[in-house]
Amino acid sequence: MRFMDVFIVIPARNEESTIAGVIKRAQPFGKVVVVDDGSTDNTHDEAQRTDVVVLHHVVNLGKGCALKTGCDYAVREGAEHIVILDADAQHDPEQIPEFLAALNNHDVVFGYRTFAGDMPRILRFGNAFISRLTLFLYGIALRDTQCGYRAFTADAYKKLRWNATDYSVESEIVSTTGRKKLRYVEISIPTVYHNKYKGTTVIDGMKIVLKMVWWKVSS
Amino acid sequence: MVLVVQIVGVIFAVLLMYFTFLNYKRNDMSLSEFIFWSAIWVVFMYVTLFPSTLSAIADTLQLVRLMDLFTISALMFLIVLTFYNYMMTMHTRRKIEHVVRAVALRKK
Repeated sequence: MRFMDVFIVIPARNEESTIAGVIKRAQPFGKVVVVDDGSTDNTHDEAQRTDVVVLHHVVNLGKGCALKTGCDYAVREGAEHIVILDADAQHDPEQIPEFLAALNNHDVVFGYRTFAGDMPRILRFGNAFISRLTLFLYGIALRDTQCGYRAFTADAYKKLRWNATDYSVESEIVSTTGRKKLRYVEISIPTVYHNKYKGTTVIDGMKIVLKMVWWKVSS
Repeated sequence: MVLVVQIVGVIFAVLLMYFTFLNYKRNDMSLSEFIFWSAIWVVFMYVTLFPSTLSAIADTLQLVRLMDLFTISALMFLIVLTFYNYMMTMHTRRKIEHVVRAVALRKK
């Protein structure tokens, strides 16, 4: 696989302390596209200092929108494979080749956290509950439906292209993978938590559960 | 005899008329919107002071008390307003999303 066809989309909001490092570590594996989602700190400037593409949302729209902007850009620029990962250094870019290798035989690759790390207990419970619900509603058995480290082919993205604007994007990708019967596989990644106040909250989790039921009912 | 609840109703209507006027003066409302909302508050005030004008409607709908008519009407109005606000919010949100994403992609 040629890395020139690979686009690495990184949505970022207020990640000035980690964004440059994540970009630097991801660059060897493909073209990096950072989507600054209305940051109020220096995330945009930090990303601009590197020689990657930085797309800028003038106001915060949410992770789902930021990912969609980045992926739309990637497809427009000729991407064959798209990797998405978080900007807070939760995900190790060194694993990108593993994700890309898995795309040879699959449409979508999901990262899953081993939960051996210091993930807050409430989030661990929420994850387990959503995983069970996903299996029940969509027939997909995933160990971690909320992990943001993923990869898919450009063709798969055209089928996956989501409407979710917020953190429920992870669940919408999973549900669409099930509904469209895309080939998927999971890859283990380490669990790293830097800031327990960022990312998916309990309220987000409840919203996600409601949306999953709604998608099932309305599809 | 004017009841306390009627006084509260009138004060409520006057306050909302004031806010409507304020919004109109700040150019946050068009003249037609100002007239529409002012008319609503005037009707509200009139009905509060002279509830018997609605007796005919209450009788037609077989409601024993006028208060029941008020409660049901208010609830229906609030549901319609909530639905309308929800639709407008979603519509505005989609437009903002479209514009922000288009600007982000156009620059590159």
